Amino acid sequence: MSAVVEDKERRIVPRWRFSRQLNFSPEFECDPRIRQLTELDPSFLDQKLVDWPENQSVGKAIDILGCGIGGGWLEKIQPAAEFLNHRKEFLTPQAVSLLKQALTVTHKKSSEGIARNNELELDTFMFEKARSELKIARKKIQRDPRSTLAWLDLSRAHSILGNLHKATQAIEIALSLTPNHRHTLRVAVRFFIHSGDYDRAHGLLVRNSRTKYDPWLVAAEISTAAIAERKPRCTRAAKSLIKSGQLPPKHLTELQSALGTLEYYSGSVRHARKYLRESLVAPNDNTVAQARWIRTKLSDILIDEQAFGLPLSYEARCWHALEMKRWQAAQFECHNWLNDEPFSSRPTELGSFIGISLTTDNRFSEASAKAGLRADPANPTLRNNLAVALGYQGKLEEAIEHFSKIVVPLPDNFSEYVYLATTGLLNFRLGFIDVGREFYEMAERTASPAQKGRVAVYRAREEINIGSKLAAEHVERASRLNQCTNSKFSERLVELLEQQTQEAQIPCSITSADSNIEKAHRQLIEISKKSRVLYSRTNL
Amino acid sequence: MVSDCSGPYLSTQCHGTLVSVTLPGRLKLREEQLNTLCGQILFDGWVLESPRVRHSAATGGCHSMGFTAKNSDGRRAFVKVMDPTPNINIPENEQLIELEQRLAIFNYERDLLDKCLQQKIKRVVRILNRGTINLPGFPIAVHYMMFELAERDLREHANLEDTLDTTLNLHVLHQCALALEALHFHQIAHQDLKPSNVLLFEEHKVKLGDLGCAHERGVLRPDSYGAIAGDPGHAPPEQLYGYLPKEWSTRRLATDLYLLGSLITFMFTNVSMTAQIGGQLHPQHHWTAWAGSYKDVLPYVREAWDAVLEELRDSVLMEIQDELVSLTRYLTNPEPECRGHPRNLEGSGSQFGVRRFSSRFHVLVRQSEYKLRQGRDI
Repeated sequence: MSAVVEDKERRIVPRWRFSRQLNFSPEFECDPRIRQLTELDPSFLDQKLVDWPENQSVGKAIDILGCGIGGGWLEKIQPAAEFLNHRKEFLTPQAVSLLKQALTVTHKKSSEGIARNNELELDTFMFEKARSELKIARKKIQRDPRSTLAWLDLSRAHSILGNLHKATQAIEIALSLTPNHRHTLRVAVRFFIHSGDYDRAHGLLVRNSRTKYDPWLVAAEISTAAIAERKPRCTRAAKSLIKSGQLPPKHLTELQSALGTLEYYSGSVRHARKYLRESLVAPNDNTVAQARWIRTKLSDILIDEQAFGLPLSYEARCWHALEMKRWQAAQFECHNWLNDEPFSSRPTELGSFIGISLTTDNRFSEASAKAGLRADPANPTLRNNLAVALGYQGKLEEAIEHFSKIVVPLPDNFSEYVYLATTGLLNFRLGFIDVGREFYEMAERTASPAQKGRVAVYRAREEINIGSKLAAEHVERASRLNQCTNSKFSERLVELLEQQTQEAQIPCSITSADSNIEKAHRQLIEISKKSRVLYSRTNL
Repeated sequence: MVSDCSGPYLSTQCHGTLVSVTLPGRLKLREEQLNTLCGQILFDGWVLESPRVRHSAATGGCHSMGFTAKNSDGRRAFVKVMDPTPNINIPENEQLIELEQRLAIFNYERDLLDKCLQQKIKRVVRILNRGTINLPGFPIAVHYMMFELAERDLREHANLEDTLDTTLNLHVLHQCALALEALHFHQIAHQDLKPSNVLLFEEHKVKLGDLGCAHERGVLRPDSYGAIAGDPGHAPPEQLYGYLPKEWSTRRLATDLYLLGSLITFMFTNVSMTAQIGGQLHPQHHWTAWAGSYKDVLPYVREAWDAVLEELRDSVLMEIQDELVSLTRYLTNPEPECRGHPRNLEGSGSQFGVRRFSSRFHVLVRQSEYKLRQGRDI
């Protein structure tokens, strides 16, 4: 059976995307408190424009466009742009691009460009994408070894592919190139949190002189301190940044959200609500996801549809869809979230759970779990869910191979009854029906009252699958046990079980070569032994 | 010979420190005053012709304007005349001071050109003569400089009828590099190398014009000019973002290197490096929107710069693309401290030395000529 993925504790940790996917949120803008733009002398353009009516040529028009766009005097260059527009079939691609800027920028001002690179390639499988980004980043570094963004991209690609050592090296080089750059620092913090080096993540921010003055770094410091179980150093700075009134809400959203979360954990619910509401004035995808999570703990936090509709709010939309029982939508958003943050265990765990338990899309579960295991190979939840997804697809050798990698005794974050139930599932699928039943019974005995119903559903699935005479009895029992749980996931499980009963699936056959099956048998016997020991220890 | 009055020695020059709102009345007055210059005899029978284009009156901030002159043999020359009309948009007691400063700037350029003549820098446009004309109605004497008249400037290169000839492109780049090398040898930074200041003469002779923005090391310019080197459509990104290295060579010579690199992108794509970087940048990182430090925006500028160089690769013949893109990369590095040929950066020779570039251009020209000859034989 799949491990239940809980809506876990959440902090405002900086997002990390490939440089080509940066959605250019205010995080990438300069500090709005600085208002010193370089004054450019318009007389150069004016003179060119004076000459223009009597001396028109393509070269001069391009010169005018270059100067006008360069100086931001867009209205003035319209005649030259129109002149080129009539001759654009003869222009070089670069000149055409310049012309496009002149024409579109003049009409739409500069805001339209923000949509560029916003769309993520949904159907490109994440590893192929990571490998291709790895190639691109390597080539860029070969050409320009001082490109910070290329080093950060390289690190992200390595993180997705599970090459943690190489990813660390790349991050360190990026940090040495631009040690005080906001984006570099935030990405480095995210990376060290991901790799479990919380102290380094926090130390990086604490030691940097820029942190106290930058709302984005202050937000990261507060959250990282909590993860590292340290006292945040910038709380006072955070409050004075908010009080100063010099920063617009879009630059304060993560700061407000981090403070709100801090207040929530310290028990100051009133302040927590206040900060979280403020964070939603001009939110980003991270703060919407944070508010959505806190909303499950605190009432009176309203998140409007516009906030959920932010282009990269996959995480928030995914959980929101689960809350609303829109299972397919949840899987769709989870897929997007996974593509957006493939190195993070949260979307992969959730994706592997949704596929098995809520949408019966075992291939999606398999892909999610495999993606998560690249970055976190020791994660027992992902191993278990992968084994279940593979088992449901009839890929039993692979399922048992993965399941055997779960280390016993089990860690605290992985329930024993899930392990026992999956042992039961694998025995069922390999034809050891009685042993399978025995393990399901053990699982049910070990599970808490609230979880007994879930175990019963998974057992009933197997009984239907083998065409057992006891199937109807087990389905009925599963429905009864789940009636009192009041859980939307259990409701969905029962709903799917009833569908399965109506469809009466053909029993799954084993198609693999005999030698592999023998190996799988041996592995399963070992697993079963371990499971028995585990069960007897618990019951002692 | 083309007598079109555009281009550096064909049209009005702007030096850009004084920008004021001009009133229509003033425009007319100045226009009338300047028309009195037409027909004036300069020396040896040279006569000023009417300016073919309208000039500084349009902005009120220009210091000089261009005329053509003709002598009795029918030869023609370009004449750069200092605008002697006072700027009536500023208080009356400041007008004379402003005029004096204008004159000082004009003389600064004249002295640099004299130095080029003395040092026999043949790839900078030659000053033929200079002098003054005293005319009634002007508060000060009208100063002028006379130059050889070019056939055209490099902007015409981008015209539809011109085919992009790689050999010619490389030849022009080689000549520009040699000109910069000569200027740098004499501690002069050009600061405004752009297509309109690259003049093409008969028999493919190439010369640099317009030393109006140039800096001589150790000689103070009379104006406060210098934050942005010349035209913002061509200026290096660090200057557009307001980052000005303190050291003379990093600030001035590195700018010349960038402008030479930008000229490469113009020769092969018809668009300057600066304009292309601007196009690649996200609007919030563009220098017209970014108010933060150059260090903070540099990673995004580097990304844009790299993309421009990759596009340049596609616009250059395969045989020379690697070398030409590498040379452009060395010349236009967005960090002025890292600009220059890598071997110079390693310590052999001056960091901002142009010689390695000019010799590489020379080799490329020879290779290209050889291939052209081979092609003809076939």
